[in-house]
Amino acid sequence: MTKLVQNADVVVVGSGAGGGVIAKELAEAGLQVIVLEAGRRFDPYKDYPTNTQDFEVRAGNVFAPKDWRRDRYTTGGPNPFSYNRVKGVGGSTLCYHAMAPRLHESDFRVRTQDGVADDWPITYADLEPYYTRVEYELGVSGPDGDGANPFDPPRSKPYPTMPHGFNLVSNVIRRGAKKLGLHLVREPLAIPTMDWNGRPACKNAGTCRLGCRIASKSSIDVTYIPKAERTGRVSIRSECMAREIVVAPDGRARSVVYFDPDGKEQEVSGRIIVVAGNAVETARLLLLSTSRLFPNGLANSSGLVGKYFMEHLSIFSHGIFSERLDSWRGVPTGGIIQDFYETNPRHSFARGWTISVENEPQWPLATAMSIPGWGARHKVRVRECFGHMAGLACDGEQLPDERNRITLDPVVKDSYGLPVPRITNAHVPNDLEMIKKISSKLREILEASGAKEIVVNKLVAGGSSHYLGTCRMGGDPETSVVDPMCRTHDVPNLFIGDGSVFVTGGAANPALTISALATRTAEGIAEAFKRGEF
Amino acid sequence: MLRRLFDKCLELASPGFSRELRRRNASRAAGSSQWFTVQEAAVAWALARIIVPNGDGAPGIENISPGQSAVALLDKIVAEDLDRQQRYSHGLLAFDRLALSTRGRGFADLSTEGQIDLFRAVQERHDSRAVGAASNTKMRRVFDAFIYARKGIFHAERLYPVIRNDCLRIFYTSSVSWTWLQYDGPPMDDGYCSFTRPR
Repeated sequence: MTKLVQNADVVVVGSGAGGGVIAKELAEAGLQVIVLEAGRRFDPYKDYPTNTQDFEVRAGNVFAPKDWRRDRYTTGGPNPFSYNRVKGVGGSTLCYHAMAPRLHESDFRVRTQDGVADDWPITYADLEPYYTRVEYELGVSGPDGDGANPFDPPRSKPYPTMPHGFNLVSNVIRRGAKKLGLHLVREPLAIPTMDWNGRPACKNAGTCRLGCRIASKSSIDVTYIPKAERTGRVSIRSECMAREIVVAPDGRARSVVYFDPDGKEQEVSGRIIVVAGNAVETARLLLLSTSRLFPNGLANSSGLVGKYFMEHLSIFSHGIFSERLDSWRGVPTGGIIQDFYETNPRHSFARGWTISVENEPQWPLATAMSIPGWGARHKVRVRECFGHMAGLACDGEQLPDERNRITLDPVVKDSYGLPVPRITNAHVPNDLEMIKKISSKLREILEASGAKEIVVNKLVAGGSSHYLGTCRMGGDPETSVVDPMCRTHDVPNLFIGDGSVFVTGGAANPALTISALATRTAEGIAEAFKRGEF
Repeated sequence: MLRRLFDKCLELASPGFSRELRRRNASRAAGSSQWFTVQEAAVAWALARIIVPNGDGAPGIENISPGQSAVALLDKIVAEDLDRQQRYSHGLLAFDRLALSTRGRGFADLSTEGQIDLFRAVQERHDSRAVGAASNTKMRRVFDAFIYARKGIFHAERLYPVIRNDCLRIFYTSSVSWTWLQYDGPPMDDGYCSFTRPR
C-alpha cells in the first residue's frame, strides 16, 4: 500500500482542550500544523437538534460513532467503569458542561502538604498566567467581589464575563448550604454571559451536554479551532485515527501513521509530534507504538506510560422538593461548594472534593426513564418528580495509584483492528473513606435544603468523565514520563498535550488546566523552534 | 452468530409459534406504509395504553397529538430498526399466545385489568431475571428460555423493556405530555430568559 507522506512543522494528535489549543498557539507563532482527529467535525446549528419536540432522543445520539466498535474499551478487575468521551473536532469539550475552575495552590504540592501522592514539578504561580490567557480566550464567566469563591486561588485578572445567575434549584441548595455554614458560589463557566469573540451570550437553554446549537458554549471547535484555521497554517484532518508514532533510527519521533476517513493508511511527518488524545487514548497510542528502540511502547523507558490513571470520584445525589424548581431553566450546573476541598485533619483520609449543583438531565423523557415501572403509578411518580428535583454531584480527588492503569486489551479490537484500551481503576482505602464522607455530606445538604425525599445517592465509576494521569509529569525520568514542559524524557521531539500529564487530579474539572498547560507547552515549543532546536 | 443459533434452537423448541410467526411475516405487505400486521397493531395498541394510560384528568398515550396515533409512531420506530422488528414480531405474538393459553382469548380481547395482570407478570419475571449476571444465572436463563419458549413468555419478557421505553419515548416527547407537565420546551432556539416565569 502506498502511503501519502506529508510534512509539517508539528503534527498534533487530538483536537480537544489540549490539542486544539496547541494547534492554534503554534500556528499563531508561525508554524505549520497538521491536526489528526479521530472523530468528525460538527456544525452546531445543523447537527444539534435541541430545538425539536423529540430533542431528547435525537440530540442524545449526535455524538455516537457510526460504528460502535470504534469506541470499544474493556475494564480490568471486577469493578465496572463507564468511559465517557466524545471523538470529534473539539474533543470532549463538545459535550462538556464547560465548568472551568482552576486547580488550587495546594494541588501542586500534595506530597509536601499532606504527605500523599507526589508534588508537581511546577507551581500554581507557574501556571497562573496561562489560566488567565485561556479564560480570556474562552470568555469564562465567574464571580468577583462579594460573590467570589472564598476558596479560589489568587488571580491576576478578574473573570472576563459576569457570572451566570442562580436558578430556583441553586437557590434552594444555597438555602441549605447557608444553614450548614457552607458557601455555594457561582462556578466559573466557559459560557460567556455576554457576546464574546463573535459568539452570542448564553441563552440559558441548558443543553450544553447535547452540544450548543448557538455556539455560545466555549467548546474548542468554536473558539480555538477557527482561530487556528484562520492563520492559514493549520490543517484539521477529521475522521483520521492515529495508529502509531514512528521513530527514526536516531530515536526521534518521525511521523504518525493513521487511518484516513476511507480507512486507508496514511503517514504524516513532523519535526515535532504532540499527542493529545486524552489520558486513555494517549497512553494507548504510545503503547501501540513499539519499535526496536522502544519495545514496551514509545517514551516508556520508565514503564509508567498508562500508569497512575485517575478520575474524579463522582457521586450523584438527587432530592425531591415540594416546590416547583424547573431545573431545566439555566445552564446545567448551578454553583459549587469548595468548603471541603483541602485535607481536613479530622478526616481519616487525605485531600477533598468539590460539590456542584447538577441540573441535568431532568427533561420530561429523562425523568420518565429514570423512574422504574409503567402505568398509572409511573405517571403519578413522574408528575411528583418532574420540575421538583434538585441534583448534586461531586468531584472527589482520587489519589494516584500505580495499579490504576491503561493497558492494551490482548483480545478485543476496535473497528480499525487495533487493540482497545483496557481500563483498570480500583478505589484504594483513601478513596473509599472519602466516598463515604461525600455521600453523607450530599445527603446532609439536600436535607438542609428541604428535600422531602432523597432518591439517588450513588457512586458512578467513570462518571466524572475526567480522565487523568497515565503520562505523569516530573523531573526524574525514572518516575515520570514527561518533563515540566510536557516533553517526553525519552524522545526529545515528542510532547504530551492533555490531562495525561497530571501528577495529581485535584478536585476540580480539569479542562481549563489542560488548556492552560497546553498553552504553556505550545509556548515552550515555539521558543525551542526559535532557538533552532528542531 | 451465537444469538442466531440460540434463536434457531428456540424456533425448534416451539414449532407452532414459529409457524405463526412465518405466517405473520409473510403477510407484511411489501411497500405498505405500516409495518405491523393488523393483529400486531392491536396488541401493540393495547400494550401502549396500559404502559401510559390516561385517567384522573391526565392524558395518556392515546391522547397525543391528532393525526399521529401512538401505534403509528410505534410502527415507525419499529420499521426503522431491524433488531426491534425481531423483538416486536416475536414479543407481540408471545403476548397473544400467553393470553390465549392462560385466559382463553387474545391479548387485545382481554379486559384492561386482565391485560395489566399479564403485563405485570411478564415485568416481574423480567425484573427478577435481570438481577445478577453470574454464569450459573446465565445458564439458568438459557435453560428457562427453552422451557418457556412454548408458552411464549420468553419473547414477551424480551419485548417488555423495549416497548416500555418506546412508549415512554412517544408520550414524553409529545406536546400533550409537555402541557400536562408544564414544561415549556424545547430548550432551543429561544432558551430561557427567566428562571421563574414560563415562556
